[in-house]
Amino acid sequence: MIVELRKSDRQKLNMSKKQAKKQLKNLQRCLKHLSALVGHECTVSRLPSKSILLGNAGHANGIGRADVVSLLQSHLDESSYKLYFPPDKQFSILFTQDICESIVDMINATKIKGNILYCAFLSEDLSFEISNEIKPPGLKLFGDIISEEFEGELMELFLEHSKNRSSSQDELKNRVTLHYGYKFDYKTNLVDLTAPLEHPIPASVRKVLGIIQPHISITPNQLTVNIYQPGQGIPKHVDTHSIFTSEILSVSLGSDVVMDFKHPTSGKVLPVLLPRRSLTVMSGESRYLWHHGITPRKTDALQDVVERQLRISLTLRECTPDPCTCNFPSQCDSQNYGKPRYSVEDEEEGARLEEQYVSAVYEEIADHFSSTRHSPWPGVVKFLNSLPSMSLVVDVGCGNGKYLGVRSDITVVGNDNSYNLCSICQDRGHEVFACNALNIPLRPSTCDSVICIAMLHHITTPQRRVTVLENLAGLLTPGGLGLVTVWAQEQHLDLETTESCRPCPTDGTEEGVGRRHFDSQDVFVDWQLKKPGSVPDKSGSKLYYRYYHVFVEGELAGLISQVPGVELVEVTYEKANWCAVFRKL
Amino acid sequence: MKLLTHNMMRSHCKGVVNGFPLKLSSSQVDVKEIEFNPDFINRMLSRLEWPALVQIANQLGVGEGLPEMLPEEQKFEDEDVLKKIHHVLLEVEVVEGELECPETGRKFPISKGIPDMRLNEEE
Repeated sequence: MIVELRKSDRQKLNMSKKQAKKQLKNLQRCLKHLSALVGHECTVSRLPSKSILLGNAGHANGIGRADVVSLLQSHLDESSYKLYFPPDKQFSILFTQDICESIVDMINATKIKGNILYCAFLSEDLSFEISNEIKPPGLKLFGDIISEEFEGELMELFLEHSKNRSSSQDELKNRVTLHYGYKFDYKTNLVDLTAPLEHPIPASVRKVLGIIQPHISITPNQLTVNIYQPGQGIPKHVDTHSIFTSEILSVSLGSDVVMDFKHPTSGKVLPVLLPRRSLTVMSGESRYLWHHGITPRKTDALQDVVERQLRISLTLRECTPDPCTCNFPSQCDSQNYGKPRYSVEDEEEGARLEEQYVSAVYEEIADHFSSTRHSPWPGVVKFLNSLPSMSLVVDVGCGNGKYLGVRSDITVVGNDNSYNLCSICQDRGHEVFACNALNIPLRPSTCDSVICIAMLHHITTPQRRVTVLENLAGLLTPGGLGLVTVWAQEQHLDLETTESCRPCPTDGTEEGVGRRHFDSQDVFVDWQLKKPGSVPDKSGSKLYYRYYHVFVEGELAGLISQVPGVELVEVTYEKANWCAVFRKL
Repeated sequence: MKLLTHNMMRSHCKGVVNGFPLKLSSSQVDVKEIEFNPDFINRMLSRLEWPALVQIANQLGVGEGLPEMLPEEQKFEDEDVLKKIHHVLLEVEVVEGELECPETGRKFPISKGIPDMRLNEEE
């Protein structure tokens, strides 16, 4: 990291070496925070760039947009730059339209509201994506939905209710809440649907519902009113998946406020300004995946520092007895937060899981998935190379077809349940058809060999796994060999050997996600879908989960032993996968 | 879809007895040149359902010169005949069309050369 305080700057400020050292530390801390915000390491540079770090000029220093604008006004035209203030940080970022070589020299080490500004060019131009216009996916905001007069009436009504207790209310540690329709239980984060409240949703809020009708797709039957004094907030949370439906609505009264949305795995925080008299609709990722909350503080700042006023929010939700089937199991109580409680035994449930967490996901991620699967795995190539010339081979679950063209003197026909993956194979000149491995439309005893690579672990029940293996065996002519590989729960069995002591390359294991740790055999594994060509910024990606059953030692051999008419040839462990070869009798 | 694949395929609908051969209707058929390998063709003969191959080749107008019957030893010596079979099996490709289960009538589209044989769980 190239950060230093120049002697000339230090002299200009009459700063001691010790003070300078402290400044340096501050700046390094700014870079660390910035790196966390953008998702990769940020450094400063002597070469001019269009992104400039303004250390000591952040909201945490009590400095807002107006302060920086007034500092810059004699140097830069206000229309030629943008400013970004990360929440609660001791720095801001200046984005200039063109490279302005002299700007750092001009404003460096000047005083701004008693703070010594220290600035430096960043070594790469950050995109505006980190600016505060970005919202989590699925979040919609509608401004000015009610008049100031109506806002006043509503606020008066709820302040009245909070005094005379004409509703079910809670004095929480940090705010007062009122409930209508059903009571939200803060201990269980659930609603008792068998006990509707005597206070229904008030008529004036019904009027609000009429106004917002065009923007929403749920029918709210529960209202929670939060009364926030300036300085109060609400801890970050995801509204319980099981009890509330697909949208969470919030109408803001009395004050603007900044709500923070935090991504649970990347840790990225997106602050979003909720203006008074606006409607916020959380749906999709913003409802199911991102955690949202309001930091308790008396002022908010996105561009300028604004004092909070008394704010009343109307949270409108639709309670349901049906379990949630969202695509975000890691946050979903109906789906045990992505950790199946038990192995799946039920066939229907198994089929449903495969459809939702395997088939549908691969259709979506096919292109990105394929772009990460280019090098054929040596174990599979070795098997294919051992086959007699002119063999006819079927690759069940062929993915992007990386094994279909390994040898020119054998004919390999591929199939996959993902039509989009089949298309990729077809574009590469391979022979493929789309089908499910549980029901393969081929005549029996037609193939010399069959391979099934990194597919069987997507099948959810033991019975269904045996069915797939029976199907593979059925395709073989007598004496024909089959190769099956699956992901292992044991991820490190071979790490003593010299070969695999090397760092794992991206496509090193068949699964290509590096070594993992599995607490359970039935797991959901995430896939960050990156849009083609996008920078590795989490906001440009979408999260998917794929179902896996990871195999333990002996399990694959056990399944093969249940298949009539085949004998096990060998089982090996390679790069966190179990591989079995069997022969048709 | 090559005719080799068509010959290997059968319908997998629930309750189907033979499911073979799948009826084919096609709106686009291409020819792609593939390296000729007489040994592979002879090796495949015992796996093929010969009458179905002849029938589909005739339907597509590429069957001329294809022997009506397979010799008992399931082998051809005549290179012209083997080349003809090679052409029919591997070079003729159905790009757009439809397969149909002979017993249930369930149709499977072929688009851009890919037959979509996926069934619903209950089929």
